[in-house]
Amino acid sequence: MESPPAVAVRNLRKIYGSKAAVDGLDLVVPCGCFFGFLGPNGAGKTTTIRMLMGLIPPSSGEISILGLDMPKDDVEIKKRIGLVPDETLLFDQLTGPEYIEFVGRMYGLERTSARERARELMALFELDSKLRKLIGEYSKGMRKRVAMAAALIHRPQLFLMDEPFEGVDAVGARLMKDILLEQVRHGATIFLTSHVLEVVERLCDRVAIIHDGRLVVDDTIENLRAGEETLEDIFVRVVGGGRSRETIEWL
Amino acid sequence: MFEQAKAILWAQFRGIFNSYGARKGGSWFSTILTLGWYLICVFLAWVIFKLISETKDQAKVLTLLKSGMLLATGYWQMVPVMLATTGLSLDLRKLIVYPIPHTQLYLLELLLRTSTSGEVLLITIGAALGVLVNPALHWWGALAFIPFIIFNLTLSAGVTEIQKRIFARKYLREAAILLVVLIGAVPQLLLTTSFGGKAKLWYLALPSLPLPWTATAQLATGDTLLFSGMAMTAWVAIAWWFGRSQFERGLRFDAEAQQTSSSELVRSDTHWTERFYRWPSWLFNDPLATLVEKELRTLARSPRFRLVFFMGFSFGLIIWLPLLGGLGSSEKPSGFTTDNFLTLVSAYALLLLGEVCFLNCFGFDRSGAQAYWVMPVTLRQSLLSKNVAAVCFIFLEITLITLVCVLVGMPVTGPRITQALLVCLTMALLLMSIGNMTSVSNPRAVNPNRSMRSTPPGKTQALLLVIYPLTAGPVALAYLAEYAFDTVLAFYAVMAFNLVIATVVYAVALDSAIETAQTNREQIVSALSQGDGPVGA
Repeated sequence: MESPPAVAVRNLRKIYGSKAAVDGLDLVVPCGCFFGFLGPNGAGKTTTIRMLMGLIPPSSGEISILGLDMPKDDVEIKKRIGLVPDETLLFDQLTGPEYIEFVGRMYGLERTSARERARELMALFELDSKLRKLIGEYSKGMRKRVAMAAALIHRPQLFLMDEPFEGVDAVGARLMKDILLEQVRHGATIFLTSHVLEVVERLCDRVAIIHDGRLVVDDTIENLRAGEETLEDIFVRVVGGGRSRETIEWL
Repeated sequence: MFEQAKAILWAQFRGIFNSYGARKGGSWFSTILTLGWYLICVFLAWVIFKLISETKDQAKVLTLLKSGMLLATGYWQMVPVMLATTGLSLDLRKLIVYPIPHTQLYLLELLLRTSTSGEVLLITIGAALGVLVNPALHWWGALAFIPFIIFNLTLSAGVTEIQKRIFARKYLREAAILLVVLIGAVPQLLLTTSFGGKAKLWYLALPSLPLPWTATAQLATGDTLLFSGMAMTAWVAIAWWFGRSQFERGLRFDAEAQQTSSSELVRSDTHWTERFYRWPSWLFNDPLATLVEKELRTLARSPRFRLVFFMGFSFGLIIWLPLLGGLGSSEKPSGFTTDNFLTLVSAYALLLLGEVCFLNCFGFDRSGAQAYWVMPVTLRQSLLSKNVAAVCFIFLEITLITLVCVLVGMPVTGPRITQALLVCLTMALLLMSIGNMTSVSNPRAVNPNRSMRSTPPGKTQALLLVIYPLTAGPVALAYLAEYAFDTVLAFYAVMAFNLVIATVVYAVALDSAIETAQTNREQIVSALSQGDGPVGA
């Protein structure tokens, strides 16, 4: 029997006041896929991923994750996903290992097991020199690393990541990319938003571009590369970045 | 089953423990203060225990319990709102992403609700123990307090959720604050007007109704057991349903949507608020003018500031009403408090504005405060701009207090307004002197979008106990001079001298604060960048 898609959304809408942040989004992400979700600032990427995470309810439309319906099966869904949310969801007054242990226990791990895994993940993400440092004192890149380490603790089937490489240095980014590719090789699905097109082009096997809340591109990276355009060219073309620029005299 | 709940509590206490290192002295002081307060509550609980356990007349115990439980319910539901604190509650924004069954979250929320009702819980336990050992009553009467506690906890959870959702809506929030203020004013108005007598008659009719406090008292004393038991069961069921349904709505609530939809109002440059924000350009040159303008906009758009500002000319005015004595009677009230009512209320408003205006003036900027060290402005200009904005709002507050006093027929004359302005200006200068120092020596990040205080009282709040009497001291001397020389000229002479001294103190303190800010810039930026834990305090 064919496994259900990792993420399937149909006619998803999110309205803020009179503005549609996400406007009739249809998207299917197959299992085992490394999926890049792109778009310019304010396009609706974060709103979409926040709806998938269950942080905000959609105004209308359907969300199915790993074959389960959101919000009906939200607890079951949450058990199977790992999140790298934006930084505001971290707890600044905890140290890295404490936070990872906390997240592990949230996903039902035994305390001792969560503590042991937290220690191992701190070492894997090369954060073991910061064991006693509070997350509030971490740099942006370290915060992203600790968030990703926490997302791995319960071995999820699907990762939802909002700008996971933002502010991460080259060494950290390489480390994180290797770990993510390893997860995909083991059958996990990754859904990430990013502004770094080069990273998406190198890692992802499928890409979607959202603009003004609507999906404008949804294809495999192979098909997109088939033409002469790079992902950056496609991105700029579909989101209208190539339009003539007005000049400012004093500038 | 409760592993996740245990983990949440563990993370919260771990976070508190970790943050102790950063706050040191203030935390210890607030701990001692809290312990002292709870010791008083334990004493009160003991008094109630003695009163109930030693009263042999069952009817008398019933009357005592009816009134006591009514007061307890009122305190449980209203006082957290009146004191502008929601106590501990789950930060659902941070926990909703985890696979936690909602029932478990709700039970945990109920457990945390006890943080706003520790005092009343102690007193209720005192009453229950009194019933338990009273030989004239059945021991099982003490069990009647369990449904009463559940009723109040669940009702309180529902009320808090509604309050949070209302406070997320920009304009509804202000209307809700006014409503809360009006409700809070009811006891004061009953005391000072003829409505008190009518209310007493209405209250006497209440015991015949099966209200929660009446049913609890009747169950505790073994009176009309079946009827009271059924009534209490119904009340608990209604409160549980109400609390649970409101909690569920809270889980689905999208505060961002409310904020986005309510912030879409675009004002034209000619709108009166725009003109208000732009007045600094008439008096000062840039960058000071633009810094003051930024402060005016920031404060006016901060729900936390607006709550305190509203309270200054509404709640602040009402709580001083009983001091007027003869209000509502045919005799014209007179005396020191009546003559100086405007000054008293204005000085109290100054006290309220302290926390949001000058004692932690970088608090609302949070990590954005580092801009003051990287922009081409001096720290003197930054601090001055914050102080000028604070003075502007203080005068606006006094104007509104005066208007409200005139509207409700309070005695307000030109000399009284002058006195109020002089007193507030002197006190404000002294408070800002201290505020500039505390802002750079003990800065704390404050979320301007949270209408309620999000941190427990710390070192600065402890200092307030000393600061306010100190700043009021020179003003008291002026009144003493007026009394001793029997002329208002003595008051003005001392106040003029006070004003000069306060200006000198302000100038010296400003220099000192700037020096401290230069030295401590790293610690200040770090302290202002701190976030919250899984449970919002």
